[in-house]
This record gives sequence, structure tokens and C-alpha cells, in this order.
Amino acid sequence: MVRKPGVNTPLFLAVVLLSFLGLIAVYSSSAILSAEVYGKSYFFFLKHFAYVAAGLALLSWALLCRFDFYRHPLFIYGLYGLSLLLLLATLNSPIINGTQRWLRVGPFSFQPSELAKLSLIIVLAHYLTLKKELLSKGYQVLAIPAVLVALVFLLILKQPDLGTAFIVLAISGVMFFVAGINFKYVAWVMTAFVASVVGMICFYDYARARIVALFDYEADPLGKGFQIVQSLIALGSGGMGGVGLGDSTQKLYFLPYAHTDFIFAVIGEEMGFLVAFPVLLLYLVVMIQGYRAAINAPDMQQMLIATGITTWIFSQAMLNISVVIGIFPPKGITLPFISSGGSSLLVLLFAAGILIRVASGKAK
Amino acid sequence: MVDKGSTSRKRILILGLTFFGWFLINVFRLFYVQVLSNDKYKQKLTRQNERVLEVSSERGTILDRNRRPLAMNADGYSFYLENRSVEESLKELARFQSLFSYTPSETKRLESMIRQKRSFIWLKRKVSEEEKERAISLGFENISYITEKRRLYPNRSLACHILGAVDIDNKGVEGVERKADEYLRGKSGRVLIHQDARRKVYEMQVLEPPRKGDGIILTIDSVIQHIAEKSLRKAVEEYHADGGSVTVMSPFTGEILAMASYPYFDPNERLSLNGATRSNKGVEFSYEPGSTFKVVSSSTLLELSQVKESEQIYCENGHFLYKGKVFTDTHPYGYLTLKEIMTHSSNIGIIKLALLLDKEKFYGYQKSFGIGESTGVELPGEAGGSLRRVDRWSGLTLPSMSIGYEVMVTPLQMLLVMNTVATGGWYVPPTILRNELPLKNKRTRYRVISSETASRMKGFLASVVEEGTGKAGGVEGFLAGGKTGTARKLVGGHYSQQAYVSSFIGFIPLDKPLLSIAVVIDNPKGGVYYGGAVSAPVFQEIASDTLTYLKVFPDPSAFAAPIMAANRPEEVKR
Repeated sequence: MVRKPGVNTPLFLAVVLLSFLGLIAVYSSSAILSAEVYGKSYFFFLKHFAYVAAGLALLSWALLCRFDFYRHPLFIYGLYGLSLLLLLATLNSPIINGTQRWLRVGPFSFQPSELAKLSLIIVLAHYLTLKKELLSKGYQVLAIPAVLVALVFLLILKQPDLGTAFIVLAISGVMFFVAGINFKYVAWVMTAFVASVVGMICFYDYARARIVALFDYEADPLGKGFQIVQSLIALGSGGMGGVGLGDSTQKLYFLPYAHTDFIFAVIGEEMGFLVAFPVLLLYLVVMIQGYRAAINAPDMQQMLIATGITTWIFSQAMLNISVVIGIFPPKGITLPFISSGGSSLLVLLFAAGILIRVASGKAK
Repeated sequence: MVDKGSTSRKRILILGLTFFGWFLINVFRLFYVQVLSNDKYKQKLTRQNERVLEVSSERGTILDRNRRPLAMNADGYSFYLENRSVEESLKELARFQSLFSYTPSETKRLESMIRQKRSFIWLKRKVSEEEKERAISLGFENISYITEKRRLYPNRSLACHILGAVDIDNKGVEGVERKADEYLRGKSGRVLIHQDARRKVYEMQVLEPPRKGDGIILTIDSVIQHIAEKSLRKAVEEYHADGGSVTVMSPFTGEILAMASYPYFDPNERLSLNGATRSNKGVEFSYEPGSTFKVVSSSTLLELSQVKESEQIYCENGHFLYKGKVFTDTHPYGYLTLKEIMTHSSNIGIIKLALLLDKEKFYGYQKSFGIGESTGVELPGEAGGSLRRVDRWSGLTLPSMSIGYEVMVTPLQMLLVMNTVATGGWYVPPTILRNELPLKNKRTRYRVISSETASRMKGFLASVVEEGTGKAGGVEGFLAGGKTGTARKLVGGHYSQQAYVSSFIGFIPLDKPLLSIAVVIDNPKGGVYYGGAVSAPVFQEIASDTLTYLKVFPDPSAFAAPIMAANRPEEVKR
């Protein structure tokens, strides 16, 4: 198979466009909060801008450097080890909003779970490629990667960060699945999951109540449902064309996390369906191009890395949007490339760089 | 990727399709929320951050006839508590209360509101600038104030019964403030505000600006009002009376120049007043007028030509038995003409003449004089007095009525009777408003008695002041007309021997009256109770002071010489 060298333009453009949109949306949604907290309306924006610039630099480095760092065992295990250490460190971090997700170093704060996702993808791709012959034969071979996943999963669950833990599980599952493990394991796991959920709903009233309550946000519009109700009001009042850039009224403290988890609601309110829908399309482009890159990857490791990163970006984006449009309960998931959130953005853009590199056939 | 390629590819495609499904669900849901439910969420948004507020209008001012302010507006500062935590609120309330006087029940009420976690609580409305500054200097976390308009009566109790008062929300509750409330209050405006989630207003849009209330100009003259109040107070205090009323009018225009009721109050202080203090006795006090009513009787007698001027009536030497009732005079009189009967206020003389009157005609003249019906003056709570229909009269009603019993009047009604004589026979409806408002008294003037009758009555009434019971009402240098009245009060169904209503009602100068004044003193004590002794001097004092104030001098030539001299100092030296 002969592949044209060069950058995968649709993928690259999608990521850059999303980041650019993020700059606009973050400025618009944070200006008032920023002015109130720091006295300058552009403080959050400048911070975000710096991260986007640094992230694009990292992306370019990942794309252009000659050295295939993600094949190097020292890099692979070193990164994974570092991630685990940082995750452990969060257990001693200050509690913010009832969770411990952030590490503070001087003026910088850092969310290790993002790095953990990337390092897990790389380490799984490496290990599954090593053991590719054994994958379809038995489940013993899955023991070590299962432990690798479980460590990250449990540490994130401990923070607690259910949404991220769910994504870690989704990415890992997808990678096992694509790597070619026996389909019956997949079937077992799926059956067991579905059966346990159905069973709980059928036999335990409290479980049913909990699950119904998760989605019935209208019943308690001022309590937990407040975020969703406000998010829907923002999106709904935006309509087809939006209320105009900068004219969101929902960001005036009605909408919590307007510049992070609920930034999509502000985009929808200010710019309407005509921009919100293309945002979804850009993620679809990432998904299609990412999976195409995986299918066309020259080797299994690159295929798995591309699969993992694509799954990560796409599932996180879809999950975030599903929350914002009210079909999932709020989980504290950011919107990739758009949400303000320094370290997470850096890691994502770096990962996107690796994905584009694979998609561009750069690797040897 | 030769061996695993096909499996992995298939599985990636499955994944891609699954994720595409998720993508589609999100797109449809997004379209549903954003585009199909647009109107619903727009409404929700409006309900959430828009509010229409009422902006109160500024109340119109009340001025006297010379545009001096009687009621105006000043800034008041209203303190409220934002109740965030019960404990802190109670602490701040205690500190705040140290500045103002609170009754224990008020304190209790505020504390219970705090405990009920009411978020917004008024602590004190419309305090003065100084009080506001003192409160601010204490530094409160949860207590703040807004500026409201406060009603201010710059002359304090002056004309209090006419002006009335407003409640804490600036609504008129007494007097002209109440009567003309719909004009004074203006129209409150509406403002659309946009609030953020913390209820901070970030946008304001005036839907309808507030319209200031109409100003009202009264016919009252502050100076004459002051003169009337000062003299009335003096008389009531001197004779330890229960109260009193003075009304000063311009008889030809029907304008009320002053209307005083003792006791006074300060409408700036929102005290709970009892009815007696609040009542504007000029229009609310109903009483049997006694001898002043002889003006009605003798006018009727003259109109109906029941008596000739030279005719002598035997006055029974002070005792007259009629249908089992003895009527008396204060002094025994023999033969008197009608003029003399009026001058000395002989009851028996009037009664004997009145017994010749046709009852229906007498009743008709009383009605025509305005007895038994309210005057329509622009003041709230006006009494109409009472005049019984002829078919309900007893055998004693006619003689009693002719001397002012068995009929109830207000001081204003009695003054209008006197005005009819003063104006040469006209009923001129009274008014207290100078500017044209729809509520202005709409009655029109009409003739009650002929000008001849009126001028003969004037002669009688001049004689009352010149040589009769009303001598104390005479003002030096002027001719005046008037009539005294000393009516026994009905106490527990019997006419009292101790309680009287003493009145003097008159006009001045005699030929072209500028002023008419009714002085009614309720229950003077200490042995002196004749209207001529108690009320006539009040008339004299008010008339004299008012004429001086109006620069009406008895004889201009008498003053010409010194003025000329002052203009030519050389001549004076010579």
C-alpha cells in the first residue's frame, strides 16, 4: 500500500477550527465572570489563548518531529508511571466542589486524568500490539492490560470523576475490541452490563427511582436540575440564528460552568443552530478521519493509537453535548478543544497531533 | 496488519456506525431544542430574567392662593433588611433599633419575620437625611436603604384639617389629600428590568414614565389661615372649650380663605389621631345653631311680607307659654320691632311672628338657604346637617326651628346663610379649589331672597353689631353685620343648662363685604358662654387682623396726611 505523505488536511482543519471557535466562545462566556473576579474581562481569555497557542505548538511538534516517541518503551511506561503518580497525588489535593481533580503547582493547575487517558491509550496500544498473537486465543493475556486500565479507572473514580472514568472505560473497551479480542468476551461483558442494569431497575424500587431522577431534571428545576434547565433555556432561546455574539443572558450566572462544561450552551444561545450544528459536524469529521486513519494505519500499534484517540475525542465531545442538550445527567466533562481548561487542552491538542501524524502517514 | 486487518476494520466500522448513531441522536435533539422549541424557551428566558417594576410617581404639591407651599415632597430614606442568615440579621436588627424608637410589638413583629426567613423586610420607612446618615455610620452588612418621596408639610399644623394627611405609601387619607388623591398621586410608571441570576439589574427599559401628580391650588390664604388659627386657639383655651371652628370666606366668590378647627395636629407625624382631633369641624360638626338661625326666619318673614318694619310685637316680658312649653328671653322685653327683635335676639318675638308662617314656605326657604343638604365643598366627610320634612314636624317644631332648634347645620352652612345676606340675596356655592379640576364644586349660584330683603337684613345685622348682642364683634372704623348664637346642647335627650355652642357669624365691611366669618365655639366653660361674649371677640380679632393684612383701611383719607408728609420731609421740618 502506497501512501501519500503529507498532513491530513480535514482532520487538521477540524481541530484548528474547533480551537478557534473555542477562543471566541471562551471570551464571550467568561468576560463577565473574569471582570468580576480579576477586574479585567479578558483575563480568562488570555489564559485560554496561551494554552491554545502552547497546545498548537505541542500538536505541531507531535506532528513534525522525526522521532516516533510513542514507540519508545521508556516514553510509554514513563508517561504511564508519571500519570499514576500524579493521579495518586490528587488524593491529597484540596477539595474543590466536593472533588479532588486538580493539582496545583504555583500559578498553574493541572488535571492528571487527561494525561492519564493519553498515556493509557499509548501503553495499551503498545502492549496489545506486543501480544497480538494471543489476543483471540484466551482471556489470560488480558490480565495485564486490565490491570493497567483498572489502576487508572479506580484512581479517577476515587476523585470522584464519573464522567472521565466512563470515558476511560469506553476508550479501553474500544481498543480491546478493535485489537481483536474474542468476540464472546465482548458479548459477555455487554450482556452482563445490560442484565445488571435491567435487573436493578426491575427488582429495586430505589434503583429505579435513582435512575428516573437522573433524567427527570424538570422535577427539581432549582436543585440539581438547575444546570440542565438553564442549559436548555440557553440553547432553546438561541434558536436558528442565535441571539448574537456576546449577547447571551444565560451566562449571567444562570448557567453554571458557562466557559467550561456548558460552553456549548453559550455557543448555541449566541450563535444558534447554524453554528452549533457545524460544531457537531466538525467532531464527526474528526471521528471519520480518525477511524479512517486507524483502518489505513501501517501497523497495529498506530491503528490502536488512532482508534483510542479518536474514540476519546469523539465520545467526550458527544457525551458533553448530550449533557448540555439534556439527554444525560451532568457529569463534569469538558468539550474537547473548545472548553477553557488549560492542561486538558494541552494534552488533547498533543493527542490530536499524534492522531494527525498517524492519519498523515508520517510514521515509518 | 495483514492478519488482523479485516477483523479490526470491521470492528472499527461497527464502532464508527454506532458513534454516528449517537451523533444523529444529538443532532436531532439539538434541532428539537433549538429550533422546534425556540418559542417555549424564549418565554422561559423572559420569565426568568425580565420583570416589570412599578415606579411611583411624585405626588402633586398643594399651594395656597398665593402659591405658597402647603404640602410638598422631600427625600425620605427607607431602610430594609436582606435576611441572609437569621442570626446575623437579628444582631444587625438590634444595632439598628438602637437608633430609632421601636415599640416592643414592632420589634417582635420584625424578629418573627426574620425567623420566618422572609428575604426582604422593611425596617423603617422614610426617615430624614440626618437619621439616614447616623444609620449609615454604624455600618451594616445586610441593611441598606432606598430613597423614596416623603410628604412634607412645611407649615406643620397650619391648615392641617384642610390638607389632611397621607399614609406611608403616600396615599391621601384625610382632607384634600384624600379628596383629590386621584389628581395628586399622578400615574406610576413601569420599567422593564433584566436581572441576572443574582438578581442584579443589567438592563433597564422605561415602558411608561411616571407622570407627576397634578398640583392643587387652594383658595386658602396661609396668612389668614394663620390669623384664624391663632385667634381660635386663644378663645378655645381661654374658655376651656371642647373645640372650635372658624371659617373665613369671600362671600361674593364663595372661596374659603381659611378654615380652622381646634385642636390642631401636625400631618408630618403619622400619629393615630382620634376622630375629634381629625375632624374638620367647619364641615363635619353638626349642631343646632340657635339664634344665628333667626337670619333665616326673619328673611323668610320679610320675603313673605308677614311683618311691616314699623310693626310692634309684644314680647311677653320674657315668658311665653306655647302648647305647654315655656319659651324665654334672656332679658324681658315689651313691644319690639323686627329690627329690635333681631338686635336683642328675642326668641319670643321671632316665635310669635314665625307662628304666622306657612310651614311649607318656611321649609322651602330653609332649603333654598342650603339647610339640610351638604354644600358640595371639595372636602371629604362633609356633613349635610338635617332638616325634617314638614309632615314630620310636631306642634313645637315651627317655633323651635324659628330660633334655631330642631334643625342641624354645619358652621359652613350657617356661613353661607350669612353670605346670602352679604351678597344681596345670593346663594354662592363654596369652594376650596382655585384651579379647575373635575372635582370642583359644580353647583351654580342662585338667588334666595330679594335684594330689598337682603338690604333690610343687612340693616338688622348692622344693628346687632352696633348696639345689640354682637357689639364685641365690631371693628373700629368699619360697619359690620353679624348675628350671635348661644344654643343649648342636647345632652342625653335634654337641653343642657351648662353646655352651649356659642357662635358669631358675620361679614365686613357692611356695604361691600370682603369677608364673612363664622366662629363656632363648642362648650365653653367657666360661666361665660354667650356667643356675643365668647365668639364675637374672635370675629373682631380675625376681621381686624385680616383687613389690615389685606390693606383695607377704614378711611383712606385718614392715612393720607402722614404719608404725604413722609414724602416731603422739608415741609415736615418747617
